[in-house]
Amino acid sequence: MDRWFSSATEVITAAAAAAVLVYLGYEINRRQKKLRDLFYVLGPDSAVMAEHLEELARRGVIRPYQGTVTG
Amino acid sequence: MTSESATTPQSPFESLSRTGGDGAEVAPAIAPTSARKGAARDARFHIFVIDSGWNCAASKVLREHINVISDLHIDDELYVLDRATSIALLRHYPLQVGRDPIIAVHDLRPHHRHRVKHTHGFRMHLGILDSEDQVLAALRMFARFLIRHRNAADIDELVRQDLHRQGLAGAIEILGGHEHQKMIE
Repeated sequence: MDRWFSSATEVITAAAAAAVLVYLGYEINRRQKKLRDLFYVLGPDSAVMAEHLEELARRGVIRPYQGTVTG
Repeated sequence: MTSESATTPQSPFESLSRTGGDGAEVAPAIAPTSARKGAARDARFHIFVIDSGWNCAASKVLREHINVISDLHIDDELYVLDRATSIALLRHYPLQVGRDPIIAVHDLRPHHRHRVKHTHGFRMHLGILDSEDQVLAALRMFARFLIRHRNAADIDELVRQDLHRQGLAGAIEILGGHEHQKMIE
């Protein structure tokens, strides 16, 4: 009976430790993903929108901010 | 983007002091800045603010602080798109809908690593944040980051490094139990 309790305790401890590790991995991954979503480094895939904005500025559709919004 | 390295001054004013020829600290001349007038000279960045008004908390905080951002980055060109222009633009880029307000920073002196050249810089998607406090903290990070690294050679790499540091800091915070303390509070 004692041996059964001992092995059951070990199994529960191992399962709890695994659950904590899974949670940590999930939480760290979630935070990193949110950070990457918040601060998105421009790449070739975002070139079209970037060029669109620059084109709006070049053509004078939008003007530098001087206290009022433009568009 | 908030992590400060050991060599980084904690106060933005510390970085303003310089050592003179006799070893004494000499503060550079500081002219008061007010609302920008005319085009920026020697601009390093083009900064675009796109806001359709979708996320009310983020829009409110951004509107309240746009003049501070403008004055802090007086040497760069800041373009604030109005609601109609923002919506017209976002209609072309459906993946960005709901992630605005967006602050797009384009590096005018980019460090090209590959043959295929594209616009370098980064975008900040404030619309994914939930509370005004989070948006304000993100805006502070943004302003501090750009001022600190205005003369950096490779801004993309610095953003990535800062994100990596933030990821590690988050991991340490979780391991340190701060999250549990917050939950209990």
